[in-house]
Amino acid sequence: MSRSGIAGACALLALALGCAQAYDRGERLYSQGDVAGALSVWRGIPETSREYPRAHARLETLEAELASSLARYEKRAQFFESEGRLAEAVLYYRLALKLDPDRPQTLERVQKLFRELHAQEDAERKRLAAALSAGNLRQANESAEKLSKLDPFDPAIQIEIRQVYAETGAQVTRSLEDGKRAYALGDRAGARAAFERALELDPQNEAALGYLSYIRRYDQEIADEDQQRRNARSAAAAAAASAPPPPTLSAQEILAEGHFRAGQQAEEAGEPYRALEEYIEALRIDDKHQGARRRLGSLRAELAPRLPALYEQGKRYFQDEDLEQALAVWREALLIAPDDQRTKENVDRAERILSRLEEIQTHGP
Amino acid sequence: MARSRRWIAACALGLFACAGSAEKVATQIFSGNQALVYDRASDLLPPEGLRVTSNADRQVSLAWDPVLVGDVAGYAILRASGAGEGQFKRVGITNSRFGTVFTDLGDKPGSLGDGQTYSYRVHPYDRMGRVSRSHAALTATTEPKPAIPEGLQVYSNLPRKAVLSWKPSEQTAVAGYGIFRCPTMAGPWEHVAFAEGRLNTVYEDSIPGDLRVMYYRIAAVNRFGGQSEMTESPIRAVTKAEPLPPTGLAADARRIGRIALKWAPNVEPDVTGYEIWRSVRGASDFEPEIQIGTVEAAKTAYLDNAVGCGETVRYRLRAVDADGLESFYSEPLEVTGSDLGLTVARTPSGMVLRWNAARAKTFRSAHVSQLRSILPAKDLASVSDASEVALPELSPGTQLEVALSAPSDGEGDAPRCRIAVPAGS
Repeated sequence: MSRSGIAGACALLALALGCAQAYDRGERLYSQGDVAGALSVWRGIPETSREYPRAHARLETLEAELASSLARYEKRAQFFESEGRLAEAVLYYRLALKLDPDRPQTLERVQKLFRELHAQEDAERKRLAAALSAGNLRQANESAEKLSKLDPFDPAIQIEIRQVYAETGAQVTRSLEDGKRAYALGDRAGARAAFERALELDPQNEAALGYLSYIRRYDQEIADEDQQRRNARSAAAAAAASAPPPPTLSAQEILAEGHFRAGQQAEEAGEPYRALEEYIEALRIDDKHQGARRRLGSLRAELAPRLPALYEQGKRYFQDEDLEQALAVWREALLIAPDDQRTKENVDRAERILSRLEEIQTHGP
Repeated sequence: MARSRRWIAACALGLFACAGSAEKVATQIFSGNQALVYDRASDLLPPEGLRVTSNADRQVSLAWDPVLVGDVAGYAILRASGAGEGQFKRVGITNSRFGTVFTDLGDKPGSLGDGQTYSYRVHPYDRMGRVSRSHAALTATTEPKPAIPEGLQVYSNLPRKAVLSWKPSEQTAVAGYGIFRCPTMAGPWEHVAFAEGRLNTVYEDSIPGDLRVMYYRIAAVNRFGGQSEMTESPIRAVTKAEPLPPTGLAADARRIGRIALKWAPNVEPDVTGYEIWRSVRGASDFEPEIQIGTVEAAKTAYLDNAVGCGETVRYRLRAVDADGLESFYSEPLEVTGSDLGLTVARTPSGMVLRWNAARAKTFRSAHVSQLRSILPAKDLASVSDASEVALPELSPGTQLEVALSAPSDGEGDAPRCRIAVPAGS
């Protein structure tokens, strides 16, 4: 072979080796989670390279997956944004940007959201500080909840929130203990006042709701009996005018009753799916709770005609890569018909895809 | 085995004396793994008050009241699995009437397991090696496996790490905590560390990469490796994101020799500065990019005053935060620096070099020289407050260089601009 021939062969070999190295470099970046880097390396492999077909095939699969992942990230971000969970929205927009940095509109959206998040956080933190200094624990608790929803990631905010929750929790516990003591002593008015204090700080507290519900029922029974006595005007009945102590209740009975009450409140507030969740929880705690069983059955029957529409709506969201919304809708359908196999399978599928989506940001698509 | 059985049988029949110390008797009688043989000739009473004194840490401690009557040489302790349904097997002996405590560690430490139920019997034996009648078995259950740890919290938004904390277990048998993680909620869960010590309730986990989501669960572990269930709900951590790439990069290249850059401030509150990167267009492509400067976060402008006359440069920015995390580069911005608009013309009075007066207005003086390949440049002319200069006759292709100086704004001199004398001029 002539000198020039050897040189040419060497050049070709170097080119081939270089490309092989480029392909491997792409794989390395990909396995480290730098999908954009991997794509850029593979895209740079020239058509003349022996590695081109391999890289091209890899790119085709990856780009298709990438496009779908990007859409899913952005839909997820939009879902969180619509829920007011701005830090999570920022997270998913940024994950989309990480997969494809060349998305100026997404970048702009992230910046806007970021500013909004900080503005809202600052305002809410000020409200929280003012509430704490005024000793208004209820207001502080509301601010803490808003902050928690806005940004579950900021360590400083999380510490503030935990402190507020700890203080609220201690006060709620004190009120509950006072209420239980008063209830056990037959002091229904005292118990009612204490449980209402607990509800002021924690409106969904099942124990307080449960006790209050029993107290109301008991008061009603006593009032009915009084009425009967007055109607009978019997001296014997008048002698028995002092009410017996309220019944002793187990923790399960109280909690189940609390969830039942929360369910009823949700129905009154026009939130049937939350009501279903509460009734289901009441029955999980105490499967003998007749009220919860009855309401669960009748509410499910009432909502059953919505099932086909919910299923179709979920499907549309799913086809539009909006997995969170699809899941939300299908989960509502499952509250109505928990054994619907088709919906269950779809929920599993959407959850698997979401899991995979989370995996991408660590291991790559 | 057969021999020892015969020996016990012989003892039981009292065919020969088995006298000796209690210890000797115990060693002889209870060596090996043979089943105990109840001897009717023994009239020792079963011990009373058999009780479990501890069930922690995969061991069961028993105590009973001493049998004060009869020729008690010690006690044999027997164990069966479950609530007495299994076969009793000797697990230990004591060799004194007052040897009334015993701790069953199992065949080997830890082998009794967590939450396992066993039945125990304690039989006195006499110095003849005769084993007394039995009593009702006592059941004991080893301490259950550790309870699921409570109060798991995670701190996110930290650079390439997540910090977990939880409440210490109240079970003294807990020797530490297993930390598990997974990038998804669905698992599988990777065991990443063991936080040793019951009171060691903080763990810092390194996560390679910015803006990484990781889910965590933990489990309490006792000293034998018995592990609680993992905490039920996985808890999410996200590592701190690198700053966003700067946006809104724009340039003002009106003044010759410099390009003024400006951009929009980053949204992150902890951005500490911006890096300015530049590459110059060479003959065929852009040259390798180099960092030409850094500015503090409060500033969102930079003046590049090393731009050649009419030179095309490409800028990119990068934001850096307090933790040293660097953003991706901004969108590149290509800018061509101002030139003097040099022209060479032949007029009836001779050759004239002209330049754009507006672009040169901040400079009072101009010096024109002829560039030569080997010899040093040759001075041709110097003018002040003018935008043209008469030149001697020059052949086409001659390289001319104009240096503007004496700037009225007090800034530096302008870069030198060049032009070749065109053919036909």
